[in-house]
Amino acid sequence: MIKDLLPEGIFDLIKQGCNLNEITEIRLRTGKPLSVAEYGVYYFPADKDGHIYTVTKEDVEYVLGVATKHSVYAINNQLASGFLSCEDGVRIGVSGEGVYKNGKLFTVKNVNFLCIRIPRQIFGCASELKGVIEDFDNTVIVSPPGMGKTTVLRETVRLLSEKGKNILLIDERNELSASVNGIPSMDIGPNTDVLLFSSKKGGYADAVRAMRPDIIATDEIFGKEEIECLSDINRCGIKVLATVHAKDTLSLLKDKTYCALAAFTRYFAELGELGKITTVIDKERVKKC
Amino acid sequence: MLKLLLGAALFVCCGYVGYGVSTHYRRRYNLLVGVIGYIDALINGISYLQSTLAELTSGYAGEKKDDFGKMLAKYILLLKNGSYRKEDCAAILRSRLLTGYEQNALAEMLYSLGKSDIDTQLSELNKYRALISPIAAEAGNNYKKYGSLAFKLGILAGLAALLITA
Repeated sequence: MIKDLLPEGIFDLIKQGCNLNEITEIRLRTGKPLSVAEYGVYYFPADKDGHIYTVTKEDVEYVLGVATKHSVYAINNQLASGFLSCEDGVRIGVSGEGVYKNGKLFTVKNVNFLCIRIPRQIFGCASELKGVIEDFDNTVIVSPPGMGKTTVLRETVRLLSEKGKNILLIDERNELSASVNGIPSMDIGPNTDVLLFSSKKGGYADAVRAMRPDIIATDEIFGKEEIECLSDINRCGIKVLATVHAKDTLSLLKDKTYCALAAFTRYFAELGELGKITTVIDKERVKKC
Repeated sequence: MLKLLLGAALFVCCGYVGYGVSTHYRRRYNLLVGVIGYIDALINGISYLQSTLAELTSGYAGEKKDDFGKMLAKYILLLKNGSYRKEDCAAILRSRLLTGYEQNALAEMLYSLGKSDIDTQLSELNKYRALISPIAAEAGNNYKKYGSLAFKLGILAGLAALLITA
């Protein structure tokens, strides 16, 4: 996928300096150096003479063109939501100039910044949650962006699914399941159903009625409305597994919106290091891993 | 007898040259009309259907076998291949029916398609339509004016050659 998505010159440059199987992020900023991350560590690919590659407007257009099948005009909604979903779970964050219509963000033009994120499956990265998985209750995984929340969430889903729990995975951006034609390419366990590209709110309502899951898993809770939805789901007797952006649990619960999570969440799992859970907070006790 | 045969051959040659010149004007006009039709189809398709560029282009090109239809068939192949450069677009437009300026402008247009948001894309297409329309109108006038004239002159020159040699 990455080979198809990138201009040949850039792909060759990345291939020379990086391990393609370990790349998690590629950032293209017009007029700025190309940067590539391998599990959170950034590199600036350079040619044989040591010249760091500077991204051009054409490079950004090329990636957008391939990602949208040369039809950027047809993906206004995705541009307005700030990302494009590609095959194999690759997500491209886009940033440029917002265009508003009737007070709402209609689309983004003059896109000059792209963040290509490649999902990686790391088996065993949720081993610190063994106790939580044995006796599962509502759990929120907490960390700042780029620490591997999604990877840990995917692994937790897999482990719970293997324990026989029916899980509904609400995969808004196809990052968790990396589905191709609706079939997950990541291992998310034998008892996991996937709801792709659905908003969390719509997904919750449909899921409770139709899929009868034991657990609903979702990535990146954002805002009061989504927290209220999770609370509603919990009221229906369905457990919740979710992630949220925050420095740590304490700062999360100090927030006047996110403190509502404490009402129904039993476990808060913090990622203190890249892809590693360092603290699990139980309502009854605090456990240091 | 030999002179008569030579005269007949010259007649056919002159008539053929006249026909060729006339055809050139007609094909050039039809090609430019085709470009405008394509731009209109894109404007409508992008505004209402928001289908992919390959789908819209295939829908317009259909089974067209004229000069522009053949160019679009090559463009569809570029779109389906995944990636292409401006030079690739220029290559499919290389034709004696278009001036260098027109080839450049159309290559720019084809390369720019699908690279911007809906508002920008529609405004660019309207800009290219405004650019091509007067050129197509002029090509139409030239076809009317010189197309039939060239054919008639060819026939006349052929007759003159026939008379002189007879």
